[in-house]
Amino acid sequence: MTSIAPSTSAATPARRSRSVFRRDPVIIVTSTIILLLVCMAVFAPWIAPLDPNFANILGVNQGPSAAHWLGTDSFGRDLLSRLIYGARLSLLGPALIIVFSTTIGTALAIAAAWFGGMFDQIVSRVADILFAFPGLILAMLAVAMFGSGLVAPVIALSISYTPYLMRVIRSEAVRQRNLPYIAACYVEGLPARTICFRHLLPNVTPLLLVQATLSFGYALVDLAAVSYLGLGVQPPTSEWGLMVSTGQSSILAGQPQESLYAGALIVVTVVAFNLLGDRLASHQGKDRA
Amino acid sequence: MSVLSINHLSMDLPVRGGHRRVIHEVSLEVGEGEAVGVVGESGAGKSMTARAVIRLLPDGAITGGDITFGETSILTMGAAALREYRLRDVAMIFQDPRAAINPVRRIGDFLIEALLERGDSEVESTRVVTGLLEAVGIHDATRRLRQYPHELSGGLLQRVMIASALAIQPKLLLADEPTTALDVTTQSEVMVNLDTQRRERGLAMIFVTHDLELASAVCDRIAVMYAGFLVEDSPAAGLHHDALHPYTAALLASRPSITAREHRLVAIPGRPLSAFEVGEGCPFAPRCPFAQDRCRVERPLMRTVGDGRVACHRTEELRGQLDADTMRESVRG
Repeated sequence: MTSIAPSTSAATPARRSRSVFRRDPVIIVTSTIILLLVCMAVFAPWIAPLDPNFANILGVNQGPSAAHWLGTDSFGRDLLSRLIYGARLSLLGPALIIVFSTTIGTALAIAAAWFGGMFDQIVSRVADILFAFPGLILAMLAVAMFGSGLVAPVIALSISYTPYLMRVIRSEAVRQRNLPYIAACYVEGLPARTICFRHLLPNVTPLLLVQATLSFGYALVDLAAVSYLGLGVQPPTSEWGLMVSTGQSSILAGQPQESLYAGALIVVTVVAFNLLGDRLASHQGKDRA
Repeated sequence: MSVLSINHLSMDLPVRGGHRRVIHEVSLEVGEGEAVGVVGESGAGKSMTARAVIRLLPDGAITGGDITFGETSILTMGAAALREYRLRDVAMIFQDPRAAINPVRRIGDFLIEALLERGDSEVESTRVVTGLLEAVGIHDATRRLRQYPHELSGGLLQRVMIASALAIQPKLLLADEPTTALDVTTQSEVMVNLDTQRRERGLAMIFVTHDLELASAVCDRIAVMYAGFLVEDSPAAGLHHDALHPYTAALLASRPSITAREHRLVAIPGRPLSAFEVGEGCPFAPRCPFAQDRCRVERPLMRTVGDGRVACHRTEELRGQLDADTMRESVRG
């Protein structure tokens, strides 16, 4: 009477994705790097050997030594400590941008997919217009209006990242919305809010995670560029983009370490996020097929 | 007393540069606890008719006529009333359970969702759906509730869908080809199960299928649709030897016989028309072996003949001629 399902051997989606994580070396390596960077930012006061803002004018632009593992900058501050503390704002900024832009982008995307018609048209066209605005220019405009620091560029970049996320998620949400399981939800008499939050949202989440991961890398670069131009976080606060900029003057003096290390950290972080996002996307594609 | 009555339902769907008619003036009653099978070829409008009953229509569909459930008119009710109606009075079983159940949520969440929405407690809902899963033949219900749709076979998943339809204790069940997507061997089990549950609960059902055999086995009445028209509505019991419409008879004749040896299967000549292609006469006239001039110019109206209803000018003359053998001869000739 009962048909036999091969259920005992089948894995749940969670279990399956965990095994995918375990098998893919790229995912293991990149997520380990990201985890280390995050730990570095969170536990900076415990990890950093010295106060990042303690200037020793007697020991400027030193090379690596036992006291200063990575040497010192042009104010004689310990570079290693500054890099470790710098991770805090360098990662917090892009994280905020991604949180804001994915939240707003996803909300708009699902609303556009749900209501369709005029609303969808308006949201999509406004997104198109925002595409024409380079994020950096918008960030500079915001800094000019609200002053430099972390807040203005984060708000500006959140706005300019929203349409990217919105557009990708909207297309998936529209696809999902037309699948029979959503029709089945109508027929069960579920209200729109339930269908959107409990059915549409979980089904676009994988794509959402991929997009958020990829965008994190871009956001980090953009924010570092803003700092490099002197429009973001102000000295003496340490931040990687800013360190690339302040280290420039020492390069000609034969002391490239500050710019070099800060730049290298930016590159490593961005590449880790992009590779991770890329791998997640390709695994997701395999799941679909 | 009828649970549902469809009166002169018509539907137009938008196509590029206009609208196309997909349902022409369909009238159908479903009595309390009665199962009505809606059969017809693909594109005959049977699914659309069933979907109109729960107002699950494509964007831009224009409907005419009226559908009443008890006292309420379905096609004109407001959003809140419509949700109440879907939440309490009517449930639908979809063709492909794998597509119609959210893949990222557990079976249990899927099953109790509508019950929670009605305000039942989680404990009570879980108890109800566990009982229902057992009723539809899923033994380890508690374990199944925690599983995801991809861990269940198609047959099991369709049982889950049936359980979810029964969970809200509806008065009317809409089954849109519930076994078409299933393996042939599981089809009969699922169908038997659906039939048993329906009878035990005295539910009315609209059963959409293109399997005339299956429909006559599980339904009390059969409504035959062709090109967006309802052409016959007869008791299932007598349909085999006493079809009223030549189209029904031709459908019956094109089944291979189990006893006789066939060299070639009989097919109805011509191709099925789309609803919008139908001219002014009878929609089946171009393919009907008995068509006369009158059939080609004057559209037959639905009228009562004996226990059934039919839309054919020549029903009385043709009675007795519409058995399988004669049909095979006339279709071949």
